[in-house]
Amino acid sequence: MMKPKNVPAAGPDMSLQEFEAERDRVCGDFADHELAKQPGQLGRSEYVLVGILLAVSFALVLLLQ
Amino acid sequence: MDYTVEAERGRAPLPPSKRLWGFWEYTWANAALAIATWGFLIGGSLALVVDVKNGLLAIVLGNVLGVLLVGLAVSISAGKYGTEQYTFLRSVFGHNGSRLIYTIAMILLTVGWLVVLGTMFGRSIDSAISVIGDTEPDPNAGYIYLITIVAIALTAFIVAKGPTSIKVFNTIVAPALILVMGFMIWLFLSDSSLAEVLALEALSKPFDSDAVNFMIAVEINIAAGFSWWPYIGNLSRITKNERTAFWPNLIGIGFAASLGEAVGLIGAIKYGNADPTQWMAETGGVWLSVIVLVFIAFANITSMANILYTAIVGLRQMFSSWFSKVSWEWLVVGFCIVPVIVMFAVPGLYDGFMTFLVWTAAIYSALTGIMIVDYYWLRRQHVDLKNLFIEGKTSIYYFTGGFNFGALAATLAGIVIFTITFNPLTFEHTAYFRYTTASLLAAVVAGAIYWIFSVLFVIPRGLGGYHATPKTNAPLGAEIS
Repeated sequence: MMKPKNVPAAGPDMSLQEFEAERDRVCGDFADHELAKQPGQLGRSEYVLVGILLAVSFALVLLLQ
Repeated sequence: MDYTVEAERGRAPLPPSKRLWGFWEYTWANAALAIATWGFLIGGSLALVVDVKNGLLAIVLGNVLGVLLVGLAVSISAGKYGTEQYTFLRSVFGHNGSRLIYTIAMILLTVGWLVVLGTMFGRSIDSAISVIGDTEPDPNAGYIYLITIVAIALTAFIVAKGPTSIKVFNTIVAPALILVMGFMIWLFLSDSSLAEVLALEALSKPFDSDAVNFMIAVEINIAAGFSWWPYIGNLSRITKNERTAFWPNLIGIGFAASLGEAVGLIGAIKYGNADPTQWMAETGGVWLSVIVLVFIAFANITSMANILYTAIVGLRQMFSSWFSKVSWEWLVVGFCIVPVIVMFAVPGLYDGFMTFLVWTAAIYSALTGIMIVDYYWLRRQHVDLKNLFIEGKTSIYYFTGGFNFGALAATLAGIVIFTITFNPLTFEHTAYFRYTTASLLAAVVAGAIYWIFSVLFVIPRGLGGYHATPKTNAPLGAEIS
């Protein structure tokens, strides 16, 4: 059976070495999926919306003085 | 040791499957963080600068600007990687630089906030007792210290239990607090029309120019937005993904803080006091007032719990070699002793709240500008997680002696620009302040200097891992913190 991605492999009684190995595996897992679009990743349209919100807010600050 | 528990406490990236907070849970957490007596005090300080209509505009616009920028700087990367905020900061400042920033931005300020919020809790309880006993509240009474210590102890108890208990506390208290705010606004409108409330004049105007007064009000609110910088990264990392880490900031912090500030602003002008714990008794009736006052008191506890949790997570990771043998619970207890000592050593801390808040913006605005430039422009949103946890020269984020001097220089430049542009103590300002604000200018200048320094000196020398995200060959174990 395949192990789900990003799920810690070991149980609650890990030694320090096992913990560090697990951390390394989780870091590697993140790196492996770095270039792929991840679930819940902000899209271009959302960044544009953020930019518009910032620009409009600052413009209103200047206009409403 | 349990990986998930250790990751929750900052020693490893938290995998998405192990993160506790969805969209609304994080929204409530943010609201619980934002709604506290500090919101009322910020609103009240606006009453000394602008009228209600301009104050409300400044609250909304300032919070949108501050909260969105801070969210871009720390929440998106935290939601993506699930990494503790100050561990992530190693990619910008280096390992030792990150420790330095943590010490300045987190320990000193968190201790200050715990004292301020604890005192606010004490005063709220004092007001509630006064309402029942039909006596005058005494905000400077000696027993306020005792109640403040109880508040800090209660906060320590909640945080010692971990983020699950914070989540439960937030989910109960935050929605109730929003109802309480709504009730207060209803009180405002019970004997005045909306038009009358909006027409209320400022208590004073420090400058003849309405434009400058408005800009000072906006600046205070941007500062309030930036003041979340040290905390929301370590809260965002508990969320499921980037989107969940980012947008709730605007709803939870932006909306909730605006609501609290609006109550403080109108209360200050209408009743002569920004703090509802002082005017609720006169307007809300005895028992209703007591209930509201107790809720306001506990609002401070939720804020304290959230900031203490983020501080301890960072402390454990930044100084892991010092505290590796200390349990989470004892670290929480040990940390909480410091604000108790500071409360007696610096009795004027509470009264200097607003100055304290705006000075913090000088640091956080610079840090925000630098982090945005580094993560979006220089790194294109890619960081090598494994190297963040490697101590010493083998880490690609070691920079020079563990410091990225470009980031430190840019931070200093941002702080200098801020203080030249606007003095939070006297409100003295330069001519261009009304067009730039101090916070936004400091963020832009710090970001620009950081970019220039990086492009000219850091990246060409192969420092900071900007050319690639190489896999480290360092052995696991002894060198990894």
